Amino acid sequence: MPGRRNPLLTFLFAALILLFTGGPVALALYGSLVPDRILLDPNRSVLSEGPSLESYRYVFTGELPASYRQASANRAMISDAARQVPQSLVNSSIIALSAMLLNMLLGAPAAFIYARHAFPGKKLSFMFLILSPLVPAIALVTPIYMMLEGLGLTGTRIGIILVHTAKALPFTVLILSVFFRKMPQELFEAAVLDHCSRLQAFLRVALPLALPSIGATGLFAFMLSYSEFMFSMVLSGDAATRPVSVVMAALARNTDVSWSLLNTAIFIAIVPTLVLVVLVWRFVVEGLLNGSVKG
Amino acid sequence: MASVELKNVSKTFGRVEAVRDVSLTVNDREFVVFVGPSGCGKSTLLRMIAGLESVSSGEVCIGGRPMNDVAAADRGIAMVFQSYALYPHMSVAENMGFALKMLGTARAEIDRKVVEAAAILRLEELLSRKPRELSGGQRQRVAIGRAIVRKPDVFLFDEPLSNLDADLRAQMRVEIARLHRQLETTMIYVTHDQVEAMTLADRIVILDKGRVVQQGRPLDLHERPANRFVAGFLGQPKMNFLPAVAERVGDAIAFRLAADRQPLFSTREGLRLAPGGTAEIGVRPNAISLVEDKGIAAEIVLVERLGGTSLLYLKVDGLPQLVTVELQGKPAATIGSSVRFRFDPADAHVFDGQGRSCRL
Repeated sequence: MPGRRNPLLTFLFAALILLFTGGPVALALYGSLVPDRILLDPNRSVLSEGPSLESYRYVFTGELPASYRQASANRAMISDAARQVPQSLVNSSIIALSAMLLNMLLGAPAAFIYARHAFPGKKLSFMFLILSPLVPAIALVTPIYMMLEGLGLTGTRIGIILVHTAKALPFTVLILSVFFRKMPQELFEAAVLDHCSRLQAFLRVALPLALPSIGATGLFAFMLSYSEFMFSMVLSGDAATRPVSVVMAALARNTDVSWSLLNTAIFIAIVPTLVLVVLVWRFVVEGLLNGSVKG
Repeated sequence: MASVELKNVSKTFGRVEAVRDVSLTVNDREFVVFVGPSGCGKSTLLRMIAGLESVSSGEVCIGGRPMNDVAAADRGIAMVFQSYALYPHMSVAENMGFALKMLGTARAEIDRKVVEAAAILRLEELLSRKPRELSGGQRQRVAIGRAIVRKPDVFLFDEPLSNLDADLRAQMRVEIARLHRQLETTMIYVTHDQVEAMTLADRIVILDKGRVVQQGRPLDLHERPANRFVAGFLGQPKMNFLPAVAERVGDAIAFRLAADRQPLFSTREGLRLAPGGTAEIGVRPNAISLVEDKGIAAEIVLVERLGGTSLLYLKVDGLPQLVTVELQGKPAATIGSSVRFRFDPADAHVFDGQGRSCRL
């Protein structure tokens, strides 16, 4: 059967992709459910011992796992950083959601103006916006630190939020301006004839139609902020402001750390993104599909 | 109710002159169709009347008031777009009532006007649907309904039927004609379809390269085209053009085919044509008949039988393009056979070397 795709081959590729994307997540989940002594013992597995939630219990309540309460246990394997995970989740959520919100609030109007209106300096400023992500982030750490230090925003969540917003904004504006440019001109001419001002044309016609795309770019900004490490590390202060990425790094830096504890922290850190993707992605995809099907 | 007046209106885009020095008046309650090939400036002209395009020079007046500096929304016009331009996220009723809502009209008032307009267009059952749930013809009716709700002084249509299939197009044409009688409002309609122009218009304005070439009642233009362009543009199937030379014979002018000097006809009618000059004779396909002897010899190249009528395409020696003949019924004609054809001199249009009609 020439020209027909082999279903077995398709399945094989799908399985490979799943293995690479889902595999690490599954491993982290497995590692978090069994204590180190079982994980590292070739003769025992979760099947013989059953899952244990003692690592989760420690992360959230500080109750030491049973195996480390014995006198001979190496207490150094219980990293204090693991106790910072819950607070860091709160911090990361606040930071990433704020960056996402700011991106949508600032990016959508900016993209609309770039897409549909002429103004002096439009080309130059757009070029600047689009090319700015090409500057390596590491080169900007020091100047941005000095700037925020001057504003008294180091060691605060607001500082990190501002930087993360600025990092995602070029992408938000670029993606949304392409979307706004694709909208038919006649739609806005009809709006003008229907007594809409520019602002009303944006709010009542462009915005409702762009909502799925705005949601998608917002999600993108969330992910970018949630996984960002360098600025988060430099700009965050004590445990009260530290986001997940920084806490994870602190945990992993401890060479003695319990595998179980590390895996637990990793899996906990993945959960918010998973939830967000499942909740938002469906809405975004449905919206995009609806928008693209026109008779 | 209003008239529309254009005074020496021009529009340039950079170096391109889209509309050049157009002056014309559209009377109150008149249905005027702007027609011409693509790029002739007809849509630009309409958009200038609407206020969607600024006027480079000249003046646009609606109802006697100069409109050059009046915002599009305040000109008392409503426009129906080729792509319908319905708001995809609003229901039919919301689409139709949007302009009133933006003006701050009371909810009950909007509802009443929307229902009223929906009744005119038989859209009552569709009011709660979204545009994507409608067929092309229904969308176009909604777009027209949106215009009606605003109770405009002037309706502007920008190629409203060109996105519809042939069947629906004919149907909507009738609907628009009915609407014009019912609403008794000034309507300006842009199309490149000469059938729409011929059937809908009180008056046709033919544009070419940004200028008005000729305007008048549809049948007048059909029967007395001012030049070769208008003659070729109006009428389906298209007019035949035979290159010819004119000679003075006594007090008459005799025309011969330019190719092989076959005599065509001679006329005593006053013609603005210098004898000895080249000319083109225009004959509509339905004015030609086949004859046994005399006439012009030709060979049948193709026969199209349309049921009621048949189209014969004839090859004449020395003529670059085929001659189209429209005959009633189902004539016995076979491809490759030789025939002779003639036409009544009264049905012939004479155009001079510049393409101008030579009739006095």
